[in-house]
Amino acid sequence: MNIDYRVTKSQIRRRKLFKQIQLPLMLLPVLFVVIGLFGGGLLKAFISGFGYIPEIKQTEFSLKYYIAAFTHPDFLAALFFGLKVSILSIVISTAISLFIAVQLMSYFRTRKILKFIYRFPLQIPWLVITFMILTLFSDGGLVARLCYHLGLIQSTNDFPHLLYSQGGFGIIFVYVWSEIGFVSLVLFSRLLGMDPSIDEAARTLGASRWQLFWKIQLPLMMPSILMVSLLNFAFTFGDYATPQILGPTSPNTLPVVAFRMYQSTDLKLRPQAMAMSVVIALIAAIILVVYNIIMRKQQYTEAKVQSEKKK
Amino acid sequence: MKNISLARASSKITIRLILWAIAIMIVVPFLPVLIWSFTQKWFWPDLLPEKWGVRSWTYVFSSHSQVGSAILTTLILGILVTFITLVISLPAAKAIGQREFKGKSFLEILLLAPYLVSPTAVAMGLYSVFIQMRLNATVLGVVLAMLISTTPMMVRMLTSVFESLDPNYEEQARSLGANSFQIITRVTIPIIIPGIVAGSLFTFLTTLNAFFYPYMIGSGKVMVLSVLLFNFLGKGGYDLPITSALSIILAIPGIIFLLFSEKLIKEEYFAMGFGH
Repeated sequence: MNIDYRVTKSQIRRRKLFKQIQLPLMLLPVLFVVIGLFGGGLLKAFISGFGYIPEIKQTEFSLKYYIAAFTHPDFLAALFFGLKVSILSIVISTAISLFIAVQLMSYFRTRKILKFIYRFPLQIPWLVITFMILTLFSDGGLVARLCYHLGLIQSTNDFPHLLYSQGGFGIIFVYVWSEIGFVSLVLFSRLLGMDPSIDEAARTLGASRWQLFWKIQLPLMMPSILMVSLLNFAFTFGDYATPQILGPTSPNTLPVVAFRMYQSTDLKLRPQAMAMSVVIALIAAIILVVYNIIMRKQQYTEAKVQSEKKK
Repeated sequence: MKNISLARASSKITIRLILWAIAIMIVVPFLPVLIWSFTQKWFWPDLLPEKWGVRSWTYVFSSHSQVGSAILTTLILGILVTFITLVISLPAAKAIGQREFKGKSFLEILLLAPYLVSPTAVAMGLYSVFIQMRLNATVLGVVLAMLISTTPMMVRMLTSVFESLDPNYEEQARSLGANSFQIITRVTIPIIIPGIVAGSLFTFLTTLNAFFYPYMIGSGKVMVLSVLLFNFLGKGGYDLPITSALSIILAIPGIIFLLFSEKLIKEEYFAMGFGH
């Protein structure tokens, strides 16, 4: 039996065409989500920010709502409150996680249990943590009761108002609690991925634990620290539920202010709410750019290290 | 010499103590919620309830509470979102992980954007669009909105799985006489199954834990557990035992996941997809 193995021209053409349309087809559904749904939602908010919202019979087109959003008395206060809460929680959780990650590198008996506990916050919803912090730190909460029994306070009124206050203590606590799991895990696996010969070389050369940390471990973890911090900043800065529940009436974070405006019965506030949501997206866009630069840089150095190893 | 070893031992003990203090700080917040869920009467300033009881749990599982239907809605939403996310992410991840094409790095940045831009920035605009399409307050609308959060994560996780594959495996299978369908079912899927399991579990949990999209797009009509908990919390003067029971239910899937994740999936998958 003779089989013709030669491929005809039309078959080649068909295969070429198939290869050409295959790629767009593979990407299309995901592009629909990212450009259609995500981009569409942002675009709608962007246009509505100019005051053009036909469905509620507003068809003007001016910059005044964006200007009003920026000059709103709550805007700057909300921006700073959000920045403070996010940055403080990141600094605290990163410091704690660094300690955890470095210490977990050495072996000891209870290491496994500790590792398990530190992972706990990873998959607990923020709303649940928020409620836990509420029952712990509210004026009649468990901590206040403990203080009473220790003779520190006489009544619920004496307890320092940790929640609903300008300090944002409750919100910060929620974020620190949840970030510890994520940050310590990422930093720990970064340390695990480190070449153990560097560690040994440093020790045989007589480096102390501190020198090892400052000169070797910290620089190695730095890109991861930056990237995780940016991620956590994006997540916390855009959060609504936790600051809404635990935050002060005013100033609260930008998402809370924007959403309150949106919910207002005064429809005139709606373009302003949309303008504010565009501002939130813009801040996230800045983070995206910085994140990307760091990631590229790290990939570049890793590739360089790899190629040098091969030599 | 003796002094040095003594100092070293004491610093070791201090470190252990700090490590345990952090661990206790993580565990302690669970306690009041657990106690409250089994409380009948607990007045200031008692450290333990005056009267214990299971009123909150009987309420939660009674037919006239919304909790049962909320659990059902949440599960349906989770399964739908996970399935759709997986189906649309697989081909995209394969393309990004194994092919070179123009605009690939731009696409990767584009896919990072929904991950970093919070739902609060997108949901208001999206809600207005969905009103015009009559998708607001429907399960379909919430599913579509949730895809924004879940797809980028799934694509990232699966992309790194495809990247680690030998790109020639398809050719090898083909030369051994496998057809396209066999290649997918017998070769590709078995190799990537750990990544699929990890990604699906993550997506499922993300959907269960998600709040803002179901809250805004569902506008009270799609009642999932997280929205129900928020409503209980937002009321003011809330019923602490019932809210506690509700938050325990909401936390259970994540805890189960944590208990089994070490056996189910490798540690790398955890950090994967986070620019690690």
